[in-house]
Amino acid sequence: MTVFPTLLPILLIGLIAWLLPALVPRSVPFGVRIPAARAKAPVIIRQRRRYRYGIAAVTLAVAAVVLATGDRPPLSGLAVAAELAGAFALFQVARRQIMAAKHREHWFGGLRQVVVADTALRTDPEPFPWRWAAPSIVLTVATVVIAILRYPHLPARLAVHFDAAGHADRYAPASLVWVFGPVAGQVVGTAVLVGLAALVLRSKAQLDAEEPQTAGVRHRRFVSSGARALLVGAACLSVAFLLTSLMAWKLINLARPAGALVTVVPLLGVGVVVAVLVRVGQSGSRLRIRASPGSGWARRTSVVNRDDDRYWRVGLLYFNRDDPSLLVPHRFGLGWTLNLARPAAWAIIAATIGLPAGAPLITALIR
Amino acid sequence: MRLEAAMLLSLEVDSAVPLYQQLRDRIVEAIASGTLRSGDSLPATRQLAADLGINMHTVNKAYDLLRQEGLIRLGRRTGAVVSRDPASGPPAATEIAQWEQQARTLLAEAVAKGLPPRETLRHCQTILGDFTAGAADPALLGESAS
Repeated sequence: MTVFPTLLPILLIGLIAWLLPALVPRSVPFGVRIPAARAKAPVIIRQRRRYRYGIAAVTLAVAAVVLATGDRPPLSGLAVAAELAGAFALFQVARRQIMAAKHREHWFGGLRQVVVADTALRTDPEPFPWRWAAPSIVLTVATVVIAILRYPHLPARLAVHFDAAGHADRYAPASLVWVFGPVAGQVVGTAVLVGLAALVLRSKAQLDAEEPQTAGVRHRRFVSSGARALLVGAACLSVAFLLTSLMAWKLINLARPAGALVTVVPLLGVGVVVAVLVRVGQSGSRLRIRASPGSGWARRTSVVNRDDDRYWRVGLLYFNRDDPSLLVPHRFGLGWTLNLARPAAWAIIAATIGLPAGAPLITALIR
Repeated sequence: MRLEAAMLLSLEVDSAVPLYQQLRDRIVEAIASGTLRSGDSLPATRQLAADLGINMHTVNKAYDLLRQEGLIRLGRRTGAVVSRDPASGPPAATEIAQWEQQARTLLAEAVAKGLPPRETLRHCQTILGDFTAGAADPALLGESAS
């Protein structure tokens, strides 16, 4: 059977891109801030339909090319890039059209733009879910302990890579770097994901000013589900790291199909995060929450969200010097993005690129 | 369950009233209506600025005003804490004098624009009633009716 490993990400990206218009709050279709009363404007419905046809066409075309050419590495990478570029272009077309209609017809004319905060979100915050963090932390500590205990007894040569059948096909000397390098990777990976979960819980609460009573509850569910999903992802990553290390240290011997766990478990983690974010929707927009009667908020129809388009470059990148937030919900995407006006954002970007790039360099220098 | 616990602050971005003043006003109103009580915490400056998407100095300025007015306490470890509410006892004479100054301006605006005194009083009562949840002083009601 021929395997097409690139096909899965291509279809997944296509599916998420197709779903995205339904996953974002209705006051920001295609990254354009609008009064909720305009959510069903003809231009928006038309652009959504066009965008979806476009996404389907691009995804199928790219998948067909990959199938026809046999999914070879340099080409398959280009195929994914082409798919992303196509989705970006389709998004920009829809965004421009909606923005043009919004300005032409003065959608915000005569409306009072407000920003809303719920101080209870901060004075009575969502607690950090330590129970959900425990599996990844325990597995990581276990890996470190096993590595220290096992190190003196290791053979001179370590198997560091396994084929799909679980047979070792690459070896390295049992030096400190080769034994503790992957362990360090696991520690850093777990720390990053646990830290990210904590940041998510404190991330900016972008509340819908037109429905502020339910917006606070949406935000709570959005961040608490997101943080828990990330911690499940961290546990999956730890399982994969631990299994790989145990195989390398000859403590277990996984044959097919158990050996495939190392690949499947992290994919499962990614799947959990995506599924949870799809279910909840951006800023909890897909949750059904009934506003309690008599909750006291008089619905004033002239009040709308602030038109904050100017802070979103190309509709996707947040840049707001006034806003001290670091992590903000994606405008048109799943999960969170960084406020690029904050120096800390650039430090995180540098670390994300630098760590994977730097690790082999350090390894090379030590040897 | 948490729906009732929400404590909403909303600011109008295009208003002629500066944002720090609006923020200060909303917090004073929350104290008046009993949504915030003495001992309640307010969010950290940075966090509130982040949620509202406004500059931290704006929140600092509002908190500083409230501190000067004796309505909140600012501690390095405790952050901003409400230090006064309707149950804390009567205001000092200087505070009453200050308030009267502001009330004078507000009432002058009503008179200057031709709002009849009876109407003005009725508005005042409605607003007071909002804050005290319908427990307006019956004596005051009687006075205006006569």
